[in-house]
Amino acid sequence: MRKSKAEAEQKQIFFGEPLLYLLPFLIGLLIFTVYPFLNALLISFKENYNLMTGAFTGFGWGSYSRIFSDANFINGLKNTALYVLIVVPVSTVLSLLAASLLNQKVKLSGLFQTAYFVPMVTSVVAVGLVWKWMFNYDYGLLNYFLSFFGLAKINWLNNPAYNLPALIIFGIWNKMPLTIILLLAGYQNINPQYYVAARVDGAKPRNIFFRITLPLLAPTIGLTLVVNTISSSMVFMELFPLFNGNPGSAYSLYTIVYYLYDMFYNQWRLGLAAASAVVLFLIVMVLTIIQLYIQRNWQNY
Amino acid sequence: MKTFRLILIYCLLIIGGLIMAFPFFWMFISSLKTAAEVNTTPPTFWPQRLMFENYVYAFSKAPFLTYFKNSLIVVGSSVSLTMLTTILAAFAFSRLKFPGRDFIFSASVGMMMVPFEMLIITNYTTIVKIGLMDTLTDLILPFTSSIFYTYILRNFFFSVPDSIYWSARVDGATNWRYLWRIMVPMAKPALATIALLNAIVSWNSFLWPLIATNTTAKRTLPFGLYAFMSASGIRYERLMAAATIVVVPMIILFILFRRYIVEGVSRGGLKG
Amino acid sequence: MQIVLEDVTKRFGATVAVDGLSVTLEAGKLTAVLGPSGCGKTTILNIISGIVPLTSGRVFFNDVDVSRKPPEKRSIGLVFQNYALYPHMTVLQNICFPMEMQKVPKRERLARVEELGELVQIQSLMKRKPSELSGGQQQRVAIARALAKRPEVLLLDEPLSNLDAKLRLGMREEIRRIQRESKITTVFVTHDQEEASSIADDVILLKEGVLQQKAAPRMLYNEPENLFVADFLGTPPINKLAGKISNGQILLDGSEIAFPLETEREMREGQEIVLAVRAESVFAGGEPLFEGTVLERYALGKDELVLFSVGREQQMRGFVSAGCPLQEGEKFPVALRKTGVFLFDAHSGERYA
Repeated sequence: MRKSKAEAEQKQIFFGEPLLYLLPFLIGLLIFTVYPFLNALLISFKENYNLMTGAFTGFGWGSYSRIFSDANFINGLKNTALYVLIVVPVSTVLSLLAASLLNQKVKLSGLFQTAYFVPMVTSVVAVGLVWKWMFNYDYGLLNYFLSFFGLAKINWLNNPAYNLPALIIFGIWNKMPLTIILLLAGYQNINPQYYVAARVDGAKPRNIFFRITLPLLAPTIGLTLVVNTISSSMVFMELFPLFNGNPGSAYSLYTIVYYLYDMFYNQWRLGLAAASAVVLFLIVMVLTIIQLYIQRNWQNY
Repeated sequence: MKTFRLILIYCLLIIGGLIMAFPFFWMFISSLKTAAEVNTTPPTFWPQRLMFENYVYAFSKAPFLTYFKNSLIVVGSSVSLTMLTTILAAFAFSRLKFPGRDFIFSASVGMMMVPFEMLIITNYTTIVKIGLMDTLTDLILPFTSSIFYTYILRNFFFSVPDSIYWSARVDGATNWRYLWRIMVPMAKPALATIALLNAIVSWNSFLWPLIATNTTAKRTLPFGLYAFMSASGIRYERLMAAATIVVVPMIILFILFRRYIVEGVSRGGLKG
Repeated sequence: MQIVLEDVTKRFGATVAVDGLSVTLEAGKLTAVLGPSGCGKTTILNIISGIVPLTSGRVFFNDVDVSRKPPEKRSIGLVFQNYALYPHMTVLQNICFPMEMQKVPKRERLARVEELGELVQIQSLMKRKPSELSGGQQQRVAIARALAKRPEVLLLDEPLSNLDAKLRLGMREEIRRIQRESKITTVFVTHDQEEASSIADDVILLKEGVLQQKAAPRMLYNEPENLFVADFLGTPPINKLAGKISNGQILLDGSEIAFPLETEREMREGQEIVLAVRAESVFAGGEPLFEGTVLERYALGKDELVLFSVGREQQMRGFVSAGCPLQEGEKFPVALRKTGVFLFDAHSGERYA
């Protein structure tokens, strides 16, 4: 009897107070994250939904069957997949190289870090414009460099065949800083005693890299792969500076998010926008679960 | 052998660094060229004459001053409000005890998986309905509750020993005073990291301003830059000047606070 | 201020940390709460401070029931094992913090800091941050901070265990001096019996959340109420010889050694007992009770400790002077002094003599 009284008293002191601390956060979360998330799920199943009036004609899978028979959406899935499949591995390999260089004890490491990391903090639209300028057919730097090697100029931004490669080159450059930082953090978590031990055992630098560094770095590499896959799946903003807000020069470079944006903002077909958003969410969710799995099971060696 | 290796490392580092940083150099150099010099082959790597007029043009022909001011207001308010909600929530999640705490927290963390693009449909309706469309407030409000920053800060708060809390309580501090007098000052490095990351994301935000504003007076820099491109046509020397205006504050921020930013990014690989 | 615990119980889930503890801590005295790790001694401190809510029972400060008062309303000062100084504040700000919370005027605060700085001797450290202090200095600051708001009770949770051995001795005396000078009722949690004995007016000895004995250190050592108490106090640990009652005499296991022992309690024939003998109560010669065989000699300053066998399977330790001619393997007559010899029930640990 007395027990519950004492404990209830203690609880009374702390009750209600937590809610006051939590309220500002929860209100924002509920209005601008939880509700819109649930609502998007709901809209994706509403037929002929009108966003402003809220009117709709019934529930069903209509939006889903429509997006999956929409060539633009299928195209978006394909382009996104291709983009992810090239950007993620290439930027990871290059970042691994850069991170192992940055991990050396060199002078001016601060300067080097700044050079390697700065693309990460700058606006995609702004640096995208710079790339647009470098991709320019007549006066762009890239074509100028190609001419050094006796190669013909490429119409990166106006020939639909080269739109995706241009997007990919920009993407690799853009994804590298984050990847390098994560890998560098991974490097710094490796106990230097392993290296001392390996050197005492007479291992050559190449052996050390493949037999010690890479296995110990595997969880971090796995993590960066997933993180980059998630962020690359959302490729979209890059299209604005490069292609004046269009999905490529011939409207052939749809991505999943561009499709979502197009359905919502340009075409006002909200069911389709919501359905594609749900597809995007499912992709992200699966990738996140993989990420959590990697973090849980790979990181305790 | 050893010096050879060192030279190789430096060479590779420099080449890599040049590639990564080159676009910024090119942007800046191009922004100072004349229209004629921009379009010459072969390109020049240093302007013949410094054309500061390109900047003057950007500030006079397009309202970049307004964009800049708007960006400052949005970033400033957004960061302060987010810090406030984050500090309060992280404290509740880490120190206070109440039923359902861990459930609410886990559910919130789960919501991190939801891509922002999925939320714009409803958020757009919401701001239209509450009459905030095309205001600076609508650029701030949807981002005041950050699960990610709350998550980071909660973990930091957890690392503060219980004995500090109970010492303060015995010393006569209420939870509120403990939070502001002891916890927040102790968490300064973590808070700085969060504030910087938040400022960067907020400064570079593009999609939401594109959707939630429609007049020039309410644009922030990235959207302003994009509008400038669409409106004034392709004049690269001017575009590069405008892009420089957008990019330079964040580069300065990065150079000043590199340690905090890198730390924050490496801790929370989740959000790029 | 007198602290009274009345039938105090604290459960964490299924485990009982403190079980029906009733004890009175006298005003103005330094009471040590002693016991092996996990015996609930820190829980008791946290119950007194109000950090841990009671499962049942009551806590009184003088005649006031404080069982439900939060820590800040109990007029206590608290020093943690890790000192818990606020890392971002200087020493001065740390000590001022509790007074600030009580809205003590600034002038008064500074006067009090002056006074405390003198008491714990940290006047020269006021501008430093905790990270710039040694362990012993942090300790002094923590005590000063705990005393700043003039609490009526000072609670110290293993305050010396993070210090190195030499410093610990010095700080022990310091705490004793500070307590004497301020005359504050002090509770001191420790797992170190020597520390408790040397510092405390009273010792509360606990085992698995149950009070074993509360007494002055000398009393605890000389008159243990049960085998656990006898065993926990003293270095080297008390000798324990297993035996049973046979024909009214004590018969040591693994030997034919039997001798009578005076006791007011009735002993059953065949009852299993433990004869506990302090090492300093053993001596060679006199009226020997039995014979021992020297196994090993250890030099311990001016005395030597002799490990010897008793009968076929038991061993004892005793002190001899360094000049004693006993050699390893040598047999010698063993006598016991009147004090420091106890008889316990082998199963309940209850004391018979």
